[in-house]
Amino acid sequence: MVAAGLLLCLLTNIYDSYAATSGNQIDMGTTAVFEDDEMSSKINSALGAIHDAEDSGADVSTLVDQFNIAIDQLRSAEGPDYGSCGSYEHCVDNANQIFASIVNDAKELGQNAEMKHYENVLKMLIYAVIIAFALSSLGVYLYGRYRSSELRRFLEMEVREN
Amino acid sequence: MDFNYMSYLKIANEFLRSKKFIIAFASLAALLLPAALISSAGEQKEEYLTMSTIGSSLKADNYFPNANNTVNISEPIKWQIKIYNGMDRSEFISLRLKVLNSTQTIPNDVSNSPSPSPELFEYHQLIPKNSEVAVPIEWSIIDIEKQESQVTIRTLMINGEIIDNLDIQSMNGQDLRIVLELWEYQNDTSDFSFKWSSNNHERSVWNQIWFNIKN
Repeated sequence: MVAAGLLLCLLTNIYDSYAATSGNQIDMGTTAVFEDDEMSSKINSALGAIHDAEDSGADVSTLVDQFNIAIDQLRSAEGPDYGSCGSYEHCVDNANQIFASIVNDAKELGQNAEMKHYENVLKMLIYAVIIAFALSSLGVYLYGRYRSSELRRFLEMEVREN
Repeated sequence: MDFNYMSYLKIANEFLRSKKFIIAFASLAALLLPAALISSAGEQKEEYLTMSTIGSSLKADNYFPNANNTVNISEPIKWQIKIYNGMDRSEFISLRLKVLNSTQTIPNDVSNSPSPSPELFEYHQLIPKNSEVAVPIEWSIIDIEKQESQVTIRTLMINGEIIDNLDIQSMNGQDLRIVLELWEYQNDTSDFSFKWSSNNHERSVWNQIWFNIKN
């Protein structure tokens, strides 16, 4: 029994060390900071805010640029010399601040765009009513003129007998 | 003047209350109001993402410095990956680079599943709608290991980053391929997904370029 237990322990250790030296240890050129739950939720919020603003009809080009700057900061956080930020914490803090400002700016842009959209819809409806009123007035007036001229022509007809 | 004013008002009142005017106005309003609402709503179109790999001359050729696709050790290979976002909103994408031999599983176009091999390099960018970005990729094989006819890639450099502890094997260094997969971020799962949906159809995008190693 003891020998079997020792053998099992030995096999488990061998497997663990194999797993550690195989695929798991590949030094990949990826940004592991994206795997962090807190960062992932901030990225999600910023992206959701951009999409909401976009759906409202806002021009989100500046927000997209800001978002990509934040992503660059996260990439720098994973880099060997931290790019222009100086340290891992600084890079992540910068990215967090940018994501937070994106959420606020996107909300404002979205509200403005939504107001503008409603204004445009209202304008279109008012124009439609005005055009309908003008066309129907003109149509009825011209029809009335035509009928009265017909009547006048009928009344002014002369009866000639050959 | 008062008499005229009153008479005009009376005529206008009669005119507006006339059956002819009411019918004409109601008919035109019934046509124009929905037209106004439809024109203010956004149009629906086909949504898509595309990816193309071009060589150093920014054309679909000159993928390798030599006339053929055999690469030397430490020889830099420069490509541009062009990604176009034709979706109706900006898309956060992940470009994933994998190196496979001829027997490893490539992405499946039918099930829209990615290659199970791990990505060696990943690039993220948010692309505005109806926009194209070009991602420069410069890669080189830094270290290989030869055992009889088997060549194993041990270290690669991609965009200045060293990726080591690799184990990509091939016979005589032949029939290897770079696979580029385009993943899309999905807000509901808070994760990147290889397949994305367009007009109720699932789609995926990937490229592959074959190469050999001179040994």
